[in-house]
Amino acid sequence: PASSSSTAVYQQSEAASSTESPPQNERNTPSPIDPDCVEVEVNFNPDPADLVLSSVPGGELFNPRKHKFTEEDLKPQPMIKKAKKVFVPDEQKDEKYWTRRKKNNVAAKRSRDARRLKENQITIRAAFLEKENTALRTEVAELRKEVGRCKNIVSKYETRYGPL
Amino acid sequence: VFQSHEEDDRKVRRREKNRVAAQRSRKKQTQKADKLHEEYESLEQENTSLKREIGKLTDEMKHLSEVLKDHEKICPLLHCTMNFVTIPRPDALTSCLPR
Repeated sequence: PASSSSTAVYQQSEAASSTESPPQNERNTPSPIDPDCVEVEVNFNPDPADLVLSSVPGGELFNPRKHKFTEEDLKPQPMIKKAKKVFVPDEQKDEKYWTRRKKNNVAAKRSRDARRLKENQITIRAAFLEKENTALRTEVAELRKEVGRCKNIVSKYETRYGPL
Repeated sequence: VFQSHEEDDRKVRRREKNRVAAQRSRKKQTQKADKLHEEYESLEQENTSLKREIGKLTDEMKHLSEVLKDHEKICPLLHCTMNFVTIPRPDALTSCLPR
């Protein structure tokens, strides 16, 4: 039975985002440990509507399995210059004023949408990671069991007949 | 048409209430986001460390299988208890296929 994540994902219109792919390593035959090449089966089925809300409208669908977030400023971008709110009487609201307002309104909307998109992405990815981690933990437990069994067999042999 | 001082007072009060509410709302949003990011960060770290451990254990498993296999070839005993080589399991793949 497929389970979908019950996460809160919000609507938006246009925005921008960045995609990162994890570094790939080639396997050399006698290399000891594989870094991030480990994969486990994870049945993660998010609401496709959520995925759409987490994807940049002009680009590809958001993939929570691959998309990592670095220190990619999981910190929000602090606003540096914040102009003080100055009251403008109707007479002074000329064309210049309104073009400036429109520009700012558009920019503000863009900023809100971008932020909403980012949060949606992180939410879905976090949901995926939770599932993956559970699967990984199971895998670790099983491997530990198997390794234990093997070592047990070897030690039982070695105590009787000496080292291999 | 004159506006009484009362109406102005009401407007001022309403605006102040809204300002405070907006501030509260923004703060709530920021806190929610920060919490999410924190949880996400810890999940990524846990994820990485688990994968690392799986890699370690898998390598250990491979090594032990080889040892058992090698022994099977030279073991003098008829029914050596070591002849139970484990089968590689399909669940966890360590794949480094170039994408």
